Amino acid sequence: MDKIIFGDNQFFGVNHMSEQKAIKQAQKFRTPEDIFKTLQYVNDIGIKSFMFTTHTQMEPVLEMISADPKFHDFKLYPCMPYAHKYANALVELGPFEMIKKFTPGNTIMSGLKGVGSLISANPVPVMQLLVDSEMKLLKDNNVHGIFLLNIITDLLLGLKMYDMLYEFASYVETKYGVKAGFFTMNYAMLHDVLVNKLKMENPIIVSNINKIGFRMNPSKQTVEDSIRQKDCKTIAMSVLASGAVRPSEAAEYMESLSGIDAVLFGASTPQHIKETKTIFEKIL
Amino acid sequence: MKKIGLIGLGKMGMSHLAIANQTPGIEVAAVCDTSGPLLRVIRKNTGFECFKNYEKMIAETELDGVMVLVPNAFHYDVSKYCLEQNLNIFVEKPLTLTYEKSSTLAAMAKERNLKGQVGYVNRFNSIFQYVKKLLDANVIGEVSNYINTMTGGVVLKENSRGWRNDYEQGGGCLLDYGPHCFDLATYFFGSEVSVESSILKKVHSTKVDDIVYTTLQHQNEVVGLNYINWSDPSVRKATNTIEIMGSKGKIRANKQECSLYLIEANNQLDLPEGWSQTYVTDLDTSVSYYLRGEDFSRQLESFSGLLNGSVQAPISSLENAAAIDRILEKALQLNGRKLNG
Repeated sequence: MDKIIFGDNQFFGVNHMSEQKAIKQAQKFRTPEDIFKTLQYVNDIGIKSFMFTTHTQMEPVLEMISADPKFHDFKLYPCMPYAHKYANALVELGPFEMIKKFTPGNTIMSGLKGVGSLISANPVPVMQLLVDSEMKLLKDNNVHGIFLLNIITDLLLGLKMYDMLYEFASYVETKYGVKAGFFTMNYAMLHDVLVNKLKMENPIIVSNINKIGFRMNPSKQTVEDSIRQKDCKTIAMSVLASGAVRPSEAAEYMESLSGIDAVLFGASTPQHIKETKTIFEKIL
Repeated sequence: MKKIGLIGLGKMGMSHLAIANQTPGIEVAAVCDTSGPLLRVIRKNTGFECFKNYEKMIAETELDGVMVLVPNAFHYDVSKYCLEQNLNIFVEKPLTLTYEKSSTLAAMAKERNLKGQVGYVNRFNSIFQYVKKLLDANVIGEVSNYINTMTGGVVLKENSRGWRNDYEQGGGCLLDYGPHCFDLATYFFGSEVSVESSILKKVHSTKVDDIVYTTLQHQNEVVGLNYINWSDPSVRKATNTIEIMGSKGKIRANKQECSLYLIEANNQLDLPEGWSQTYVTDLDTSVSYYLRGEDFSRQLESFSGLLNGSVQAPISSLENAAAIDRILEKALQLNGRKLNG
């Protein structure tokens, strides 16, 4: 796994600190070409990993990436499921077109898998179906890991449906031959479940890790203690806490906290991207 | 450890279930929903006791409290039954949409010495709590007026069918968005309030309003314009913004940031003259379990505190929820409408 991973929040107007900042950022990325241009820059300066939510707006960008030979060693880490996509498709295309759009290969078989799942009250086949449908859009791309978004990871944690986390990881590994990863806002809780309860080896966890403890639950101290155990791969995100922490301070903090394997960050200007890359490369 | 049961597992219900299940001080002892297939999935994949009928759940489970998460129209009957069984209640917002019914519930809880909380989640937002602290400390002096805005992009095309186009089912911008907006006003300026005017405007809906302008007067002192619009395509998710004018300065806040303008520096609280800015990242937002924002977690931590005795009075009480229902009723009445209830 690369130490520097580029993220996608800036493309879609997400900023946890300020709505105004989010609007400003989103204005820079009106078209797929705008997003692709930034990714070209990212690729050129040697950041070779990109982690993104499977937004509908990403589809043309993914095509551009797979068509461009310069991206041959550019690794993609899709994060799923992007729930709004299904909701919107349902409204705009209707149920039949939606199923056709998202189900891979044989629609009838997929339908059966879904129906069977309903009757047996077993959510595993539905999960597999969702993974397959998201991966359909990425069949020509260089996928190196498949990540579960925090809304689902944390919901399963909350309901104590731990087996589903295990099922997701093993499905991704057997069917696609890549590692699974988990986003969470509950690092300590997830760490305990994956490592101690499910006995997973070196699971990948992506979570907020920053100097000010923003969204480090249940507390900064507890999260730091779990990280120091070094029995999982930790990808730190929100290291700048949406701008509340200066990059140099963030790097200092990361360095003091041994046990971080990679940093996931997003930025919208070439200058910021390069600066952040340089700073974190030094300490990881 | 206090035992609770959840009634209704719709979209809000599932997220409440996950949060409640991880909230210190409470244990989810049972859940109830009318949907058979949903219960089957829950029974098979989780450890929760499942019931199809809430009366049966209450009869067969030892409970200290319940969370009433059923559709609005059933809030009153279910809540009343729970109070009759001497159970503390958490009810999703709005309480009943009828002042009379809501105050009946508030009175019942009081008479039986039971705790009640309503799901007005903005009260658990760190920035809004910070604003409340500034107001309580009189930082901007005597408050004269405010503009309270809530916008979102819910109804962007013709809305002629379903609950969203039906006042009786809690549809319309006034009844759907309005409660959260008016709650923020009563949180900051008190629930002793008169509705001075209310304009309800249709844009996309055929039977209900999409835009609301309501002026309120609190304690005969603070006047405020509440502007609510659920047909704003520029807004990604529901957004609350409030601007408050006082004799010593002004506050402008949303869920993520608060700008404060002071005519003179406040040395006691170390606040400078002119503009200063507080971001949510500046405040302590840690929660025991996070699912969809700290506010929802803190809301249930508070309910747990209420049941366990560490929180004395609810931050979002039944009485206050009744006052909000009165504002809604009055706003409809000024437009010649009345809910059948």
